[in-house]
Amino acid sequence: MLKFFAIRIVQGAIVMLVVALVSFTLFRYLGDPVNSMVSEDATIEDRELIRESLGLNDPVIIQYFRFIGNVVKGELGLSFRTRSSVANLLAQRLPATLELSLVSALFALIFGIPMGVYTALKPRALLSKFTLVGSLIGISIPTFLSGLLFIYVFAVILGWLPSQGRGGLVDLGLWKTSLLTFEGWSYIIMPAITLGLFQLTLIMRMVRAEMLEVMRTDFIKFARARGLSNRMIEYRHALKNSLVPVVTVIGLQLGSVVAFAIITESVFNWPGLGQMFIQAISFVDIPVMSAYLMFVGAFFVALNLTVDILYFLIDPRLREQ
Amino acid sequence: MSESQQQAQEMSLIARAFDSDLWHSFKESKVTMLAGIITAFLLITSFAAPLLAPYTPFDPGSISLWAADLPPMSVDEDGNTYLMGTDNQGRDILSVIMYGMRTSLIVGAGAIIFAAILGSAIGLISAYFGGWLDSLLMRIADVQLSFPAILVALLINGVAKATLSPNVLDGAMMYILIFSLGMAAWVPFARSVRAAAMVENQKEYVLAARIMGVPVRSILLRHLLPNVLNPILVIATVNLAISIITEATLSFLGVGMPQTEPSLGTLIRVGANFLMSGEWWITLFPGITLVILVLSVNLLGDWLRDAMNPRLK
Repeated sequence: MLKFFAIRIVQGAIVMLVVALVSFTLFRYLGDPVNSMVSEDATIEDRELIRESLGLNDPVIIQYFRFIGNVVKGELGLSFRTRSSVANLLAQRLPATLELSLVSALFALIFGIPMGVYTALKPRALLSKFTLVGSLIGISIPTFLSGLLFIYVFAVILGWLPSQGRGGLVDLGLWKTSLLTFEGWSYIIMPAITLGLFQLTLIMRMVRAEMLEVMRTDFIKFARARGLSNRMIEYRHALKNSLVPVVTVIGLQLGSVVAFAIITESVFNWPGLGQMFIQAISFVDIPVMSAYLMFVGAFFVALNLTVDILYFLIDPRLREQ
Repeated sequence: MSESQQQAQEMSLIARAFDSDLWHSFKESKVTMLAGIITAFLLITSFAAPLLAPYTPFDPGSISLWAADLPPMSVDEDGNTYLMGTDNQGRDILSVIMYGMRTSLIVGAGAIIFAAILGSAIGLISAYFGGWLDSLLMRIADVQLSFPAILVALLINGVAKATLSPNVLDGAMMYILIFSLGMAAWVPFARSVRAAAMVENQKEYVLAARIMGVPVRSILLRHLLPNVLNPILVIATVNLAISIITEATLSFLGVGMPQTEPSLGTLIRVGANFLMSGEWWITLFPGITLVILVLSVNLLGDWLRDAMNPRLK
């Protein structure tokens, strides 16, 4: 088991090196950072000076290793656009995205799993059919469109909820949160539901499909033959066994929440990492873009590792091997 | 990979399908039938847009700013009726939607075909050769997965934007989108083709073919590929919906189809600017079209997945 984790961690590290290589090479050769920094009438000498100060004239290998070294030290360079530290920028933006992702993931899990179990166990109930049709429609509405719909209904027509930004924040020192005030929640609720809706339907359909598969297997029939109660069969046998594949999907889905946050943040003008990334793309702000990619890569590697560990906790068969 | 061979195999599969459980289960389910009919209707209206559309929205001569921002069911001074209203440039929304849907479909389907070919090839090679090549390819798939589809597409788009000049960019955008969406979607194909091919690989007929000295190419294309087509078909249908949505999202974010050749996502992006002032129709109608299109494709995909799962029979 230890060996298994050691291998996975080494693999994760290699993946991170490749991600670093991709983000480094892509952005090293994408556009000319000097152009976006100097004024129109800058002389060639001025440009060379900036080029030298950014280290853009060194051999590529050296630049790559310097890049990795700096990332490990947490020095992500200066934003080409604002000349401020990228690490600070990330730290400022991170709470907004994490809070949004967390609230929406909780929303998706709390509603998704019970709905999946219910629709699998009572396929003929009216509520099940209603939920299933709803989930199909939910999975077919793109995130940005449901966001626009929410804005039109709840902000433009009804005027109940604010549609732009995070509102007033409570400052906890390093972390500015919107989860402690009523006003903060009024700002986060629409983006969070928009972001979580797709995950909710996906989790629900996944749980339902797995439950249906497991309920067909022989050991469930045997459990029935043994005269176990329905409750015992459904929750101790069926749900537990259907959770193994579900955990992978849910794990990876929680990761993609961060990616989908790009869209939600653009629609709701939410000051998070995703909005920062889109802005960085339009200004060819290379350090910000590569920092964002490294962050997402690290996040996903960590998630994959966590999912692997969860496997061991959920499925005793793996522990015995 | 020989395309004609693959096509021949897919044709025979389709021909067999009409005579099979699949066709019968299609006729059984009313929802699936409805989804099929709607999909066919949308396909026809979008690809016959030049013939069917009431106006030619991209011909500058036929656009008049006098007819801009008209609500649905309006009639302008010349007596032209606009069923779904007009946008800020005076273009008929219905016509723009028909052309836009065609663009969305071409990009979505093109990306999936590209992803299916690339992913199946990688999956087959990975399963057949195994060893270090298999590990390498699957690790690449892992790395790819650590970047969500939308990010991969955004990245490739960003690279194209930075390297191509703006006037070339608009014309090439469709191919860039097909390439970037396809590159973002090959992993599920590769993974399930690999899994299915590894099972097939253990079976006697593959072993027999190997012993007889059948060339690797033939084993991959004539023996393994036909037996792993079911997952490819299911994944393609399910992912077509995802790819249409992703294209719309990219266009909405402003890195997709240009306004001169808009897809449904571009139309929604334009419309969103007018949502706050209450001009809902510019956003809503393209939005509804997109949802109906994706919903029908999703329903077809669901049906296909259930119908092809032998355990659910």
